[in-house]
Amino acid sequence: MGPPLAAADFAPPGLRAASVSVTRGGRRVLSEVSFAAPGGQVTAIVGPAGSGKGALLRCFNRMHDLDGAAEMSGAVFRENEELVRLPEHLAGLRRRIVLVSGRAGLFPRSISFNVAFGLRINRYRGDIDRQVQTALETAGLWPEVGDRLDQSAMALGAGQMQRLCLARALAVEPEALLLDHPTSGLDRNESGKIEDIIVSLRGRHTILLATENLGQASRISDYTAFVQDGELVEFGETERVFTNPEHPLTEAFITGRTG
Amino acid sequence: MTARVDQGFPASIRERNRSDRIVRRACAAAAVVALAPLVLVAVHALWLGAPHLTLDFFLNAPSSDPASAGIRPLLLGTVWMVALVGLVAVPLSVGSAVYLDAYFPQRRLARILGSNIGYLASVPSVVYGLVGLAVFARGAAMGHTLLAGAATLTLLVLPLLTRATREVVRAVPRAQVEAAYALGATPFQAIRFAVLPGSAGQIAAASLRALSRAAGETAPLVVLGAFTFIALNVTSPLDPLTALPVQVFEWTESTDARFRGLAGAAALVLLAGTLLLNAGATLVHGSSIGRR
Repeated sequence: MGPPLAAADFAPPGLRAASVSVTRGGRRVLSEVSFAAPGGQVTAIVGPAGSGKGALLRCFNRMHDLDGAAEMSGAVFRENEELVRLPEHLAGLRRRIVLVSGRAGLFPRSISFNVAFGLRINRYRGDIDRQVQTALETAGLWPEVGDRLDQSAMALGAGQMQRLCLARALAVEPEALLLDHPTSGLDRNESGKIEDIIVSLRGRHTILLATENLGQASRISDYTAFVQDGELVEFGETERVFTNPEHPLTEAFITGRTG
Repeated sequence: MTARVDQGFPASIRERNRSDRIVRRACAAAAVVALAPLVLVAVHALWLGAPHLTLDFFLNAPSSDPASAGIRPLLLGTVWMVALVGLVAVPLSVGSAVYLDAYFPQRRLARILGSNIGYLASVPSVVYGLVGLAVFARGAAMGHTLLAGAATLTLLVLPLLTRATREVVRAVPRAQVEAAYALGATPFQAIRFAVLPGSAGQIAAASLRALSRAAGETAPLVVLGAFTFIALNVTSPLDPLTALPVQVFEWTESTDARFRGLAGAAALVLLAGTLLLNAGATLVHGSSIGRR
């Protein structure tokens, strides 16, 4: 692999869900969700806790296939290519479309082990050290941990851990990032840093952001999908959804009458 | 004012404190009762066997003369078998635990096997002796060798070790395994890099405990036709089956008090060995938890 692709020859692909339903353990957690997240943009998925935001996120890299109790139907697309359940393709797919879940997913190993993990398992042939540094720089961590990469990731603060998760994902140069509540449990200062990083990634990656923080969605997303009880209630440009919601349920949620 | 707030509640909590004390003392008594037999056995064996614990006791072979009888071949037999069991049982149980609990989604075969493997752990050890006699000693023509004994003990230890290993594998945070998959890991890579490193220490601890169990097993080896009073030197797995606990059993049966003393001494050696393995397990386990 050569130097990183220049922005001009690379446009991150859009992601699309077509009538996607997910049942887990017989219970329906998503039903018939269809929407298209444009490439290179930030699409927020908002909704009350337990409404299926995380489940929707996990459709796009087919994580549900790992859960024996979960059943996913419908189709997901990367541009016009359907992402099908083929074990031999899944590993490659998940390098392109990376799920970033919470900091509990960090390995209890060194900082560099964590960031280099995706590169190692995907047999990256380039300069791993450089790639690790670039990813940590993008995640704003390099100035903080650049001189102690051998230290355990478990010794970092919560916000740093969350940014380390981001760096670990960025290292494999994914086309799309599926961010599962990236600022949950963080203070405003740390949340702000992560929001700044997400904004800086716009254009280079297609970003789906599941969040319970409505302010965050309105601040940094281009599009917003509102999900409630497993159904997509409304999808549209963030500004329009927040200022002029079409659906009464959306309005009730964004104005704080439901939550 | 206070009176109104406290109305309906007894003024004193003495009664509750008393029942708390009673329960605590009962639990302490239970703990003492649980540990007492081990202490009694150790004291008894020490009293019987300590005089016999000489260097010659470790270097000599069993003999009809209690004055010169020792445990060298028996000790070697037990060490050989424990080593063989470790060599075979540890990789097998790690493999099966990984198949049963670390592959997502779980295969149908894994579900069926997984729910049944637990039952094997409750099969009485003497039954494994019968299986070993039919399958290894006769069926596979291993005869009454250490190899047949090791194979039988492996069968016995496998379900126990698999059960323990599965618990360790299942304790690896699901989020870490998911993170590995989410970055493009294949199932093998997720296991190799996310599941096993976090559980290696505890798997080692479980293995040591299982080996200490194998070292002390007597019944299946008696059924297999273990030899006692072996004067030969034990140098290979194809040598005759002999083991320390079987000789302890044999010597205990003797009418000669001097042989019963030897039994005490041999039991002490066995006890020390198994305690050592268990202490090692606790040590490994503790340090692996500390690193998390």
